[in-house]
Amino acid sequence: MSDSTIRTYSSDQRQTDNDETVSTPDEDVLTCPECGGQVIDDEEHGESVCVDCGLVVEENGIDRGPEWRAFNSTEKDEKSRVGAPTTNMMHDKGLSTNIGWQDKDAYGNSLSSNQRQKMQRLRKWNERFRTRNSKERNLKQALGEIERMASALGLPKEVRETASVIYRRALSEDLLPGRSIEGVATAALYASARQLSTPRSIDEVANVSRIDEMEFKRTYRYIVRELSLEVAPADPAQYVPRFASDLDLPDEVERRSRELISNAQADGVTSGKSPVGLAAAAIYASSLLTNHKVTQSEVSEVTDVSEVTIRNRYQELLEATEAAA
Amino acid sequence: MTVEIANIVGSGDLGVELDVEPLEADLSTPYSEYDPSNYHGLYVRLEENGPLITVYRSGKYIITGCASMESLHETNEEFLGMLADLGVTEEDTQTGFTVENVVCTAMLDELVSLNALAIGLGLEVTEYEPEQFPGLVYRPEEIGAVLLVFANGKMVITGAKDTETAESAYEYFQSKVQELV
Repeated sequence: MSDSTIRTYSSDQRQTDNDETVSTPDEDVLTCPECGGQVIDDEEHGESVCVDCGLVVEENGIDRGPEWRAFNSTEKDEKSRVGAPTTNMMHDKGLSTNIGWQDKDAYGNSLSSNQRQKMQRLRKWNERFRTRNSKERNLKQALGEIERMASALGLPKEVRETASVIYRRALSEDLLPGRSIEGVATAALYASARQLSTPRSIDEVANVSRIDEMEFKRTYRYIVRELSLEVAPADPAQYVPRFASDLDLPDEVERRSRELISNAQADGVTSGKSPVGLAAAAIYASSLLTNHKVTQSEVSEVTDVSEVTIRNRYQELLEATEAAA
Repeated sequence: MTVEIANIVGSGDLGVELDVEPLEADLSTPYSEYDPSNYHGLYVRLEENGPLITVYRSGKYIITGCASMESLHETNEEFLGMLADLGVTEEDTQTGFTVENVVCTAMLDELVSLNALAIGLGLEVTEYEPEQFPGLVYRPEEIGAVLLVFANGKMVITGAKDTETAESAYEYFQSKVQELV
C-alpha cells in the first residue's frame, strides 16, 4: 500500500518537472500534459487517458481492489485475507493482534491443560506488550471511556471516531496534564457530537460521564479553545426528533416543533437561550397544538429541562409564531 | 461615549512581610475583616461600602471596587498614608501600584443574533455556549480585552489594563458588527 502511494507521488513530480506548461499546482494529475484536457481513469485497461486527444498518460495502473469476488457475506469472510480497516477508536488503531479467549485451536478442539496455561501466559504478555508506555495506556483507557459513553448515548460510529481523533490531538498537544482522562474524553465526545450535528445535551453527557458537570464544562471550554475546534452553536431543531421519539410523539408534532423553532429564530428570541430548553418547549407547544398532549413534567423528564424553563420558552415560542402569522 | 466603568482593580507590593492579625487590630477603619478559616487575606474598607482593600501576609495588596481611576489612586494614597502613620511602612515606599483590570459596561447600538455573531466574528475567537452561559464571549487577538455580549445588547468589557483599551475594544467591536450587518 505505502509503496504504491510513494510511487504515485514521485511520478506526479516527474510529470510537472518535465512539462512546465501544465503548471496548475492544485490539480491531481487531472489535466493532460499535451493539450491540457481532462484525464480520466480507464479502470478496465488500467490506464489514464486524456479525453480530448487520447494520450495515454499512465498505463499499467495498479488495481488496489481484491482479486477475488464474493457474492455474500460468508464468501466475503472466507475469501478476504485482510482484517478490519484501521480505526482511531483503538489505541493501536486496531493493528495489533489479540489472542482469543476460547482456549481452542484452529480446528476448534479444546487445548490441553498444559497448552491452556501457556496461552494464558502468552495472553498476559501480549496484553502488556500492546500497551507499552503510559501514553498508550492513557489512550486505551480514554478510548474505552469514549466508547462506553457513546454507546450509552446511542451515538454513531462517526462521532466516536471524531471524538477519538479530538482526544488524540489533545494528547499530542499536551493538554492532558492537569485534567482527568475521563474529563477530556467526555469533552471530546460532546464536541464531536456537536460537530457532526447529533448534539447531546450537557446534562445527558454528564449523566453518563464519570466526572462532575462543572469539571466537564470547564474541560470542554478549554479543549475547544486550545485545539481551536470549530463548534457551531447547536440548533434547537437538532434535538427535536430524539425528544419526540423518546416521548412517542408522531411526526406531526416534530414538524410543528421545527416550524415553531424556525419562527422563533426568525424573530430573534432564541438568542442567548439554551437550545435544549427551546427544543423541549417547542415539543410541548406543538404537542398541544396538534392534540397529542403530553404534560410539562413528562417533557421535563425526558429532556432534563425544568418545567419552569419549558413554561417560559413555550410562551416566547407562541408569541413569536403569532407575530409571524 | 457609552462605555461606563463598572470596576477598576489595582495591585501593589508594600515590600515588607506583614503580620495581618495585629494589623487588623491597629487599623481604625469603618470596616475590616480577617478570618483565616474563610480567607487568608485581610479585608479593609476605608469607607462604608467603599473600595475593598485585600492585604496579604506577603505584603501584597489589591484594591477592588473603584468606579474611577481617581478613586482608585485616592484609596491607594490614603491606605499607604495610614500604614505609614502606624509605622508599618516607610513614608515613601515604592509599591509599584498598577492597574490590573478595568471592567466596563456598554450598550450595543442595535440587537444582533448571537448565533450570527459567533459565526461572523469567527468560531475560533468567540465562545458562545447557550447551554452553559447566555452570553457570547469574544476574545479578539488584536486587543487586550475580553468582551461579553448578551442577547439584549448589553455588553461587559473586561480584562483591559486601562480605560483606553476598554474603549478601543468597544469601538473595534462596533466596527466589526457594522461590517457584519
